[in-house]
Amino acid sequence: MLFSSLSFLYFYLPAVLLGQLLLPQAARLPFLFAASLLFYGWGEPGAVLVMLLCILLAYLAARAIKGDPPRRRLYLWLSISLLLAILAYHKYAGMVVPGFVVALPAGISFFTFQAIAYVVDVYRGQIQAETRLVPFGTFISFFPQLIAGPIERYGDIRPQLGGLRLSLPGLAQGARLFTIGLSKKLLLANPMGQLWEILRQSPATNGIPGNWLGILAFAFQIYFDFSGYSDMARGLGRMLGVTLRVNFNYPYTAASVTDFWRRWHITLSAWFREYVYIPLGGNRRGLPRQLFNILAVWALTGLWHGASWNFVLWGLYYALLLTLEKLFLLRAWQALPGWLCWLPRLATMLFVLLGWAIFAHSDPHQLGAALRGLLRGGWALPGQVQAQALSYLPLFLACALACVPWPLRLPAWAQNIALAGLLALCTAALVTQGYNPFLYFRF
Amino acid sequence: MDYRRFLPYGCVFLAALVLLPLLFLLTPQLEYSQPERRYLSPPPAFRWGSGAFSQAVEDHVNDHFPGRLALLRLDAWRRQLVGQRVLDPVWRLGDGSLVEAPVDLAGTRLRDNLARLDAFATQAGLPACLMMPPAAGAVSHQAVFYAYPDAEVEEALPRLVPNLRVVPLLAAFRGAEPPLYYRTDPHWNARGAYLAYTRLADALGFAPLPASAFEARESAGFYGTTYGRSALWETPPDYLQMWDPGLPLRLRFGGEDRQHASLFFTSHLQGADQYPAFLDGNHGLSVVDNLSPGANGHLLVLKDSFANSLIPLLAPHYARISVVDLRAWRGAPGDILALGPFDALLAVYSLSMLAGDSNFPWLR
Repeated sequence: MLFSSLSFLYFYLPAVLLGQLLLPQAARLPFLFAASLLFYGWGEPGAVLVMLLCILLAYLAARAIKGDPPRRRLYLWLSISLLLAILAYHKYAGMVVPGFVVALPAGISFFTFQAIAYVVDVYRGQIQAETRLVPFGTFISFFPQLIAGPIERYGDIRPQLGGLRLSLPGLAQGARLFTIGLSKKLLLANPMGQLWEILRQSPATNGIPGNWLGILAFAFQIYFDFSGYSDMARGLGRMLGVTLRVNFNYPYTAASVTDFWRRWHITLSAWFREYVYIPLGGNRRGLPRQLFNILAVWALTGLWHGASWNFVLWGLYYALLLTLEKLFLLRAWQALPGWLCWLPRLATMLFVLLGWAIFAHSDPHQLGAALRGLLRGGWALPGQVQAQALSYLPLFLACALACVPWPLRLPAWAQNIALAGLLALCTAALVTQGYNPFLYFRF
Repeated sequence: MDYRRFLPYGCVFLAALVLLPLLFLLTPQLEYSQPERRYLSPPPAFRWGSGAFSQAVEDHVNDHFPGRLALLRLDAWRRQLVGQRVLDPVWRLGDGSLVEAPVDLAGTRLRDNLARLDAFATQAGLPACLMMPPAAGAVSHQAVFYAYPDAEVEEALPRLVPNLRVVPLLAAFRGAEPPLYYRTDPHWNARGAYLAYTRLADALGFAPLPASAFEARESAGFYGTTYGRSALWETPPDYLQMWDPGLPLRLRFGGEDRQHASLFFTSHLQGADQYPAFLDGNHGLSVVDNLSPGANGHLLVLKDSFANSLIPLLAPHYARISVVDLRAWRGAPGDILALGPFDALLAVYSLSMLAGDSNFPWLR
């Protein structure tokens, strides 16, 4: 089920809220677990089995680690291997064996990572192994963040699941966050995606400005798509009484690539830092080892995003940029005089846009054509691209405005009115429902 | 954050979550949407384990959501205001007219369809003409900026169909006094059809009748297909224009024994989409017999719906016009030419049809 659908917003969500309101405390968690399974299985019932398998595997592994200390290491690696095998089978088999196609359960990369984090945290003794299946199952399948994060840790969520209750503050704040996210998705990301889908078809004839416009449209699409989803997830969690972590912090205002990755998909970066980078030695074993660790983490980060070599290339691209910043570029940016403070931001944005060009094209020939289109070719805009660019100008401005925190500085009464208007516009867009993909569902 | 600041919106949100589902459940559901001219999705039948069921639920909820038409209109205006409309299939021009967006020629059947048409003309061995009605947006001075491809295609047509004589229309249409098209429909109006008819006269070898030779009739309340796809419901209706040659004639549809004494079917004027008033819409084969003494000649017309308002203007010049619409024609090879002998062949196809229609293989 999609958050951005009428059936979710006006039927599923009210039913879940009503259930949480009317049921006794003891029944709320099982109800939420069942509701989450329904949410996940709505369009793809078979995928529920894959998720239940992951839940069961992590749950039993944690119990085994706790119950059999001498063999805890074996259980840890066995469970991690099995969870990664499930992920690899569904996501990467086609990459290794051409022509081998397996249906990809939505959000599998997110819930397997949460399950791995849980097992590792139990192994490290940071949290207790859960004795009841329902709370752990609800954590993994919790519908607000099941499909596209934020990637949470059980130690943060478990205490909140114990006291689920609806409250007026939670509902008001949650409604606000959800509406902001829904608006980002429907009113900004989807139109930008439509423009990108057109411009990506013809990099050879768009001209250099047309191709940069296209990649800018994609940059807006992926940001508002993903951060919109995260906002909706946080809003829904808040309505149900669960606080989820912030996943995006205005990444396009970043002053360096390092800063960008502190602001973009924060919970994924935190996961890789906690469960890959630091166990590999982090920055504690000298510079060469640190650079290797960065390379390894970013190759894996790229691969996490998709079963295609362009994602690995994208990860390595960021490994290179982050290495350069670590070696000298950050210091160079900091040494700039005050009047040139815009330069690092501009350079970061250009690096990020080039990165999105790599990210967006899984076909090497298309990627080559897209990169050539960004760097070579005429400066003139063909008539149709010019028409689209000019017509889209209000949307580009709206996107730019939504990339900075300024709109949140409006007085509360203006925000209340704006939110009501946005809800009406989103409902209208949902009724029209033409183009509505979620980019991060495939990850 | 102080939650009380957003309490007013929280109340609005919760009210919407309660009231709209209730309205959906309590209000009677329509089967047909008159402004959009389409049937709405029925209640979904449960099918276990199939994504089709969840999709059917989505479709049903979308089609019957409370205030749906108003919401469609709100969304249409939003897309209009933010510029997203440039990617929609229908554009609203500055004068309020609704036109089809330019045809995107990438990956279309244009060359293949034209090749089939050219091969058929060769096989027929007849004097053959091709006329491509320009899109309304390509003619409108308000929309020339948007680079409709009609001009470049019209210029390329003589090379693409060497066995047909191409009757160019774009320059004449751009130079003529508007309106030549309906404001709520993609088709040309009677003045547009008449202009095309005069351009055709030389190619087909007849002297065009003056406009005054036709009896002009109008029908108010015409909401065409661009209106239905636009969701801009406040757009005022147009007048459907019918120019009647006032001849004694007989019209037959393929496969039907019934004969009609008029080319205009006024029963369609009661509905919102009145365009089927011409020739009763699109039939696989329509045969128009001019019963006037001295009429002679047999014209074969291969066409899309632009030709429907042109046929009444051509009727005085032929004893018989056989009109084939490939979208509804399912004859065997040779069946079209077996309707002859013909004296001439006329193909009338808009660019959107040439680029998108998959029925040209029936032309054999």
